[in-house]
Amino acid sequence: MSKEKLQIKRRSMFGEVMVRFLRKPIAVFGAVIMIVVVALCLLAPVIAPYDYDAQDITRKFTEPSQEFICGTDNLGRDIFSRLLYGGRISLMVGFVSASVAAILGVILGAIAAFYGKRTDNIIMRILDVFMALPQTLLAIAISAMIGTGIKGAIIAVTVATIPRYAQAVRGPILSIRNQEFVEAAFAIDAKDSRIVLRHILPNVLSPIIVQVTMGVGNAITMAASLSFLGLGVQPPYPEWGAMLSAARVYILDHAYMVTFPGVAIALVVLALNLMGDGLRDAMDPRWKD
Amino acid sequence: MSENILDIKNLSITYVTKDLGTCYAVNDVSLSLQKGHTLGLVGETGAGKTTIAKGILRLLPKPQGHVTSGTVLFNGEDLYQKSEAAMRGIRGKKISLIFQDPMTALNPIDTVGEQIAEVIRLHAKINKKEAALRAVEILEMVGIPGDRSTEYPHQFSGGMKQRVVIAMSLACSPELLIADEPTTALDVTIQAQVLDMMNDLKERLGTSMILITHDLGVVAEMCDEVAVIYAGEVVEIGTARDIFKHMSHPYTIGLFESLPDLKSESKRLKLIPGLMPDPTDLPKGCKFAPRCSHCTAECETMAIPLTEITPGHFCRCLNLQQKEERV
Amino acid sequence: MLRYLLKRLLALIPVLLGVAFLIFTMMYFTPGDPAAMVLGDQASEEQLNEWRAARDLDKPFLEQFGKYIWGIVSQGDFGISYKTGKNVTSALLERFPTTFVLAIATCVIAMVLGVLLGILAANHQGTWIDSVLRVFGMAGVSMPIFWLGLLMILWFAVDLKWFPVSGWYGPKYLVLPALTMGLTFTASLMRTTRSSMLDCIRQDYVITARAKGQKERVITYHHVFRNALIPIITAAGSAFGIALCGAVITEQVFSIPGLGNLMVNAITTRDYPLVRGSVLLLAVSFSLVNLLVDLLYACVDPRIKAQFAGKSLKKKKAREEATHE
Repeated sequence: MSKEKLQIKRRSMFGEVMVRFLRKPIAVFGAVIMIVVVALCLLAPVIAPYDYDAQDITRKFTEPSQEFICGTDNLGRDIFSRLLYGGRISLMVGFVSASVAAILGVILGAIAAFYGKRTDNIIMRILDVFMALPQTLLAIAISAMIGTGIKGAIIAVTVATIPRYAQAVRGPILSIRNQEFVEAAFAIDAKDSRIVLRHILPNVLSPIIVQVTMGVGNAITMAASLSFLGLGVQPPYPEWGAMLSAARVYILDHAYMVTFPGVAIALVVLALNLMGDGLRDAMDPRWKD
Repeated sequence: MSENILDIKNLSITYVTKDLGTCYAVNDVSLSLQKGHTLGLVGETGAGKTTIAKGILRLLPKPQGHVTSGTVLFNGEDLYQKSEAAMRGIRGKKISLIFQDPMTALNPIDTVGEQIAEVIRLHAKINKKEAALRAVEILEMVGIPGDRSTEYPHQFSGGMKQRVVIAMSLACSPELLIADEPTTALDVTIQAQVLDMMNDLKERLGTSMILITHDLGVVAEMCDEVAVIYAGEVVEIGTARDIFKHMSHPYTIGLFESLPDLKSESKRLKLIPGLMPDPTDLPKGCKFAPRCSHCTAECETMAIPLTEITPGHFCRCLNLQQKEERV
Repeated sequence: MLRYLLKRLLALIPVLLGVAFLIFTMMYFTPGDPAAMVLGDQASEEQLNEWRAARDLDKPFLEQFGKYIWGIVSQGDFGISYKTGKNVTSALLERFPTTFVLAIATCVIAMVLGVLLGILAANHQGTWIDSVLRVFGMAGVSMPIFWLGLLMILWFAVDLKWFPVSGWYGPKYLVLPALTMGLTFTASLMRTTRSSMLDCIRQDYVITARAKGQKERVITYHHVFRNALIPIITAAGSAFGIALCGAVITEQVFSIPGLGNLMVNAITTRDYPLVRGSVLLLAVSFSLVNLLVDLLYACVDPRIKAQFAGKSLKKKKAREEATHE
């Protein structure tokens, strides 16, 4: 009996995290929303009842009805179809800029923290300049320079968020770098790249994953803000922020035009935040209540 | 029998968490402490010693900690029948607690003087100035220059911090002091200093003490009675002499055998094989059975009673009874 | 302490120079010729050149930048607006107070509500109060500001008619924009407060305080909250900074003539001196707020104060060692 008792329960780190994640109904709820939204947007050409730029002035400003679930806009375009196609742009901008920013940010932060001294100083001073401006303002300034459009929005959001990722990994890496197991790796003359990839990064992976999950939501909001200000994605592309921006004019008489794109953004960002929260709890047992 | 300051009867405490289920931390523990005496609680990490200490003061973490049965009588009064307000009057004034880790037991943003004065002001009706003066006196009593009372915890070393914690807990001359591994976090040389000081102060103030430790050397130096705790149970209890000279439970014997002995020639230490049982899934019979070399079939199935071997010396083991029957 | 402050202010200079350089470079390399945009298609090559020369635009990049910085440093001159021909500095000073008031109002709402709700949630961890507040917090941080602003207009201005839809003509006009941003920051500040409080509630010194016989209320405010303050101050400080700059969006939604509004209009009309000036002014305010936050840490935490004071800590350590022997 004692032998059986002493058998160690083994589960992979990934499995362990999944089990804990699935135990959180709110986090699972967020994940389900995300899956549904992503699926709907990917399948937009199949599901959407109309084309996103199919205009028909005769049916403009139709209130939500059975035919037009979310109503039609000032040019008679079906808002639901536009939301589906717009979601592809919004989500794409969010995912692409968050992941590119995370990769570049982590590389920068890791280099700074790992090599320390002058390298660290130079990188961090440059990032300080970027961080002297709040993200949204930085994104606005960048998009003012590179101009409007989907590509412009992605670049603006990416560059604006890189410093945060770099800063987020630098601290943990600095502290891990000084721990004995890393010194041990140095002692056996392991290559720098091996030490970083094998010993250091895995230990800061969970905060990075959480950051990126929430970062996608943040990026979507920022891109939408840019479009809202008339700087990001331009009409006729149905990006959610651009749709809101266009609908603003009609807020007094046709409130539904404002409601649906806003709901779409808020719902996606909420779902991503719920997932991020759940992931953090699942990956870091200290956080459990 | 002289008057008992503390009587714990059949105390059981569980922790309930969503992830791990129910954890049986303390099981049917009965202890008593005479006035002026020191009782040692000995056992491995995780045996439930700290939980007993927190249970006495009703400081179990909420909402996970639950006392499922038992009473704690302090001077004959049941602490678990008291209101929260009455308990606040007892904590710090009549019973006080010293924590294991002096590094974290002090509030980093208050000066040590303020922290000592806090407990004085709570229990003595004096103003701020007088409390501060008292705090300085008490600091000097534990061997810290009084002018350091305006310094913050981060300006003290570990041993000094523990002195501050001790000063804080003795500030209101409590009747009972519960010291939870007071020297574990300290260097060996500092350990002796702190223990000496505690012994000295205890004598002077006439305080009774419960000393929680896993260090048998400390027990030998400080304690009148000793209770050996294993997996939340008392497995052996008696006077220090009983335990040190006539240890009877296989676990106690194992503890002593795992100590290095300067006199003997043997080079290797004996150790107790295996680990403590999972407190969420305790063995049915003797909790020690899976690690015990004398384990029989009965040991694994039967609940083992605590039996008196000599007056005042109890042990929770079946094999002893059989031994005695044979004699 | 004073030395530390001076050191921090000095350290700010290269950062702000960096920001100025960054913005200047970005505007310099932005495609499009401002001269042609301002003077229109009919302008002759001569007129264009004259216009450029008047603004030093024909000079090399570094000279332009140097002159720009010198103008700011020596006489607070941020240049001349391309569009209106007026002084940028006076335009900035005219608009800044509006944005500042909005940011202050936002922060007051967020700090009061956020901290109180956060403490409430932490004290009732795991109960329905906590759950309700968690949902509120999550929804709050997920709502884009511009949409929340539009909803506010729909509910409180269009339907209930309690407040005006947009504009800036008195205190009444402040309520909706301040609430919009305030609620967003309330949510994030509440989450920070809650988790910071929970971190501290688990600390040993809290049990120590309980073991002393201290009352729960005093424990919450004196021992837990004061220790939990640092992340809360950080969040509140960054909320103020972000509120200053987040005003860019809110001011658009509510048509408030603040700095953000000025900036967005300047961007769309390619009025670069105005863009540079407003971004720089926002960066300065943002950095100063962050500096203020760092100074506040010292008031809250003696350990940080000791670091500022520098040497005295080492002295104490040495003395302690001496007492030890």
